Amino acid sequence: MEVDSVILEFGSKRVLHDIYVKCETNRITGLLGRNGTGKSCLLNIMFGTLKPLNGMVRINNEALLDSARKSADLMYLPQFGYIPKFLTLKRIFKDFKLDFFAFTNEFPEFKKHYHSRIGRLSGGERRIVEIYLIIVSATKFCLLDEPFSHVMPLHIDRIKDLIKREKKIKGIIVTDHLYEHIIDLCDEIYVIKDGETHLIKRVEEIESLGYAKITSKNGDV
Amino acid sequence: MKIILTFYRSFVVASSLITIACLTTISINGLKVLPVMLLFKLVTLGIIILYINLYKKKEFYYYQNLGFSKLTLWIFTFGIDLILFVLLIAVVI
Repeated sequence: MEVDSVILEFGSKRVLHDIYVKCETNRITGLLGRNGTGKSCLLNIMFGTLKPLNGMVRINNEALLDSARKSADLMYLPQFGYIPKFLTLKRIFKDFKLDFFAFTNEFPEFKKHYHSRIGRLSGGERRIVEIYLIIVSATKFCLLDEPFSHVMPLHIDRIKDLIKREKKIKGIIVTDHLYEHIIDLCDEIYVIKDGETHLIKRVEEIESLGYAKITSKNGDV
Repeated sequence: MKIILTFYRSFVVASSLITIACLTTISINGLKVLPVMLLFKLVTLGIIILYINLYKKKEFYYYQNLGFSKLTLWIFTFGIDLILFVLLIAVVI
């Protein structure tokens, strides 16, 4: 999947203008950038829920010209809760054609919630379900907006394992301010700055682009 | 269809109450109020669409991840609601 030539403006403010992101099957692509640089907007453009002034999204060199996306092509995890609260986990897993018991093999603490409405779960538990659905569903590309934020460390490790497992059969684009996990997980990383994407080659560039002070890890991406 | 009905569930109570109010008015005052009631039903459906688009916009991602666009959801649920409304009017008169 490729996205390029994106121009996005809100009123007189130009948010994105020189964008190129490429994601391939069996690759995890990271997106980093300060708040308000347009990371979520870019994911929404890919998903078809935000229309830019200009821009092209292609899968296998085929342009997605309208805003409709097939779930077989793309799925998107927004940074907020997106599941109607009145639905039970049983129903949700049926809708996404996923096996609840495979899920409980990964997250045994959810066994008791099979018949629970998702609105009854804690915020952290809800987020696990939301993340799992998008990562594991049958689709070519996953867009993950802040999958690690508000999730406890033990679950972050399990989510990272899931992403690593699923990347064998899909392309994954992920953004999160917990950038150490992004650095650890991703095969390539783009930093968005001043409306442009910068494909970084060395971790130190994250610091030189003004996103974060890198103290724990140096080297190639 | 199940997914469409799940979306319909998010406003079926409000819509049903409006339908009942319209049917009651028609059954009391006769067919002369039918155009006004049809207009009332359409306007309130418009208000419901605005409300859902504004306050439940996050939930659209659930349906979009299942392959149902916003437009598809509204066309089908709007259609179901209006067909039900017309059928119930036929029963009342």
